[in-house]
Amino acid sequence: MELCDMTAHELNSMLENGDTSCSEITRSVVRRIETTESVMGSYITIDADAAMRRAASLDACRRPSQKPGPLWGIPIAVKDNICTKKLRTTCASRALEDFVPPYDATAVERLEQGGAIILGKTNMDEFGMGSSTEHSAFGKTRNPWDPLRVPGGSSGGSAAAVASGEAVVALGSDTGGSVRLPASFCGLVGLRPTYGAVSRYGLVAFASSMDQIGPIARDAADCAMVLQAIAGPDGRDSTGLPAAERSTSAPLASISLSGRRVGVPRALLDGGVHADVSKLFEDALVVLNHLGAEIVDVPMMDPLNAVAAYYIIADAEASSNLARYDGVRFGLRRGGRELEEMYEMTREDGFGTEVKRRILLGTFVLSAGYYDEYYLKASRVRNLIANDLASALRTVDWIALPSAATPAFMLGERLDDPLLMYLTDVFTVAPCLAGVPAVSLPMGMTSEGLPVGLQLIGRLRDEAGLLGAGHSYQQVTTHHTLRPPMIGVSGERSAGN
Amino acid sequence: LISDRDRNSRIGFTQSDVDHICSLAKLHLSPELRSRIARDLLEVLEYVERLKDVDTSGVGPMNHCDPAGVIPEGVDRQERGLSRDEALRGAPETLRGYFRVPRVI
Repeated sequence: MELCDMTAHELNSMLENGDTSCSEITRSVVRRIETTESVMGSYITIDADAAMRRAASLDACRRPSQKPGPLWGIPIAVKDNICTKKLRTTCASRALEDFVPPYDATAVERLEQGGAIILGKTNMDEFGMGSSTEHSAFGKTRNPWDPLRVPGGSSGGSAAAVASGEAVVALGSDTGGSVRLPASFCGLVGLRPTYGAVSRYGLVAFASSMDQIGPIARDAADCAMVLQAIAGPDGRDSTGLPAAERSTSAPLASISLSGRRVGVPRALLDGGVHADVSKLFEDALVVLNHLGAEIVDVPMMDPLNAVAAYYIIADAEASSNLARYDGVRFGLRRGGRELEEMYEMTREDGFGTEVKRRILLGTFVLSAGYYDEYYLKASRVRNLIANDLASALRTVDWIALPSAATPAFMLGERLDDPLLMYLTDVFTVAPCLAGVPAVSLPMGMTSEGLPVGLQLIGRLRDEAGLLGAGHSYQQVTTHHTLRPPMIGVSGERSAGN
Repeated sequence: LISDRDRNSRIGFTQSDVDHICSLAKLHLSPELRSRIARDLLEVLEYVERLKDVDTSGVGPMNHCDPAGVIPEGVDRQERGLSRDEALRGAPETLRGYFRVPRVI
């Protein structure tokens, strides 16, 4: 196995033992990028030279006796809606094609302080609006397990990069499922932390009441390492959680599932779930049960209501947040001799079709005469969903669901059917509305050889529990150790690597 | 039974609504895109009608997640923000240290 295919914790041990260097690890990842990126399209911007220079300087400044921190020398990919002072931050939008932020996001600052090496910025659905990474102004990203399929979205570039060895770990962001869905489609672990666990400072706003940065990694242990580095209070995000007694960023500890209760909303799984996904989900429950967990049925509101409430609320917030792209202070500007004309032309050229659709829906549901009927109603339903989840989580430790009803779908398959695309998020939006954490863990492969994810939803601030349970699950399963066959520059799949 | 068409028409989302929200959102759209998006929005609005069947009597709106139940108290610390040069660096057009826009009046 090449260095770029290893986990961060394995590389950390190798660095500690002097068996490799930051430069060797980074070179391995850069070589992989050179081999596969023309097919994968994981990145919008790559700065391999800067990554190599950074690796060399990390190697030069560590004394051999010094134990490297968990992310020391680990090459990481960052979703392109997270601000980086040294790299343009486009949100996969023409509106920000040449935008270089004047500051780093808090999460990025913390990664760098931890010795991580930022390779570049990954492709995504424009401003996070999508579930397939096809709504990008910079081309499509392919699924490493099947290049004719989508990697999921909106953090599809981050997931594709990690799955293909073009990064060791990555940051994504999750507003309605954008970390967990691509993690599921690409055979990775993706964590949506509790709302407020990770500072949103420098995360370009889509739906501020739900946006959260989260790690995408090859196993639960790596996810915990990234979370540990980026989580914690930040004076620059007033919606951040105060420091916890039991820290959200505590190092991973495998936890015993004995005596724990896992709730399964059986009623939701009756129809519409792919047969292989259902079977693999049942298998995963058997494993959790063997580990000591009691599997019980829990009631949960129809997730189709959660999807409806989510799209009203997210788009309402987006219509407000995206008002700033007006051609005045930064980003694209298009002509116009008058101010109004400049706004309209800038936004017409700057935004893709899906973003326009969302802005218009959001504007409509907030507009006079419709606010009560749509936005206010959805906000009340949101409260019900949050209460519903909270009461279920009083009786069980975690709720288990598939991360998605299907494995990765074909490129183009849902692109012309916005509603069908929105329904991809059917199992991921409820935790976002409620603010609780959730993780997607690889739970096996379909008969077509596509990975699918097991989702565990936890109580507020229970990242340690979710990742600990995931770690325990990964001690007795091997799904997370599978790597996709290598994709060569010709687009042909070779027989593994 | 109400046919889909009748149900759609109950939503009352018309072409002039589309024109109105385009103007509110400062979005100019080509006629083709405008009619495509209008069709998509109608379909989404039809879908979200399902929320009308959810009983929310006595339930207040939830507008944000505030799991800790607090916006942190304490004293705001003054920190250096962006300098004028940094703030202007990404601007499409500037004039003597200001953002420049087309003539307004």
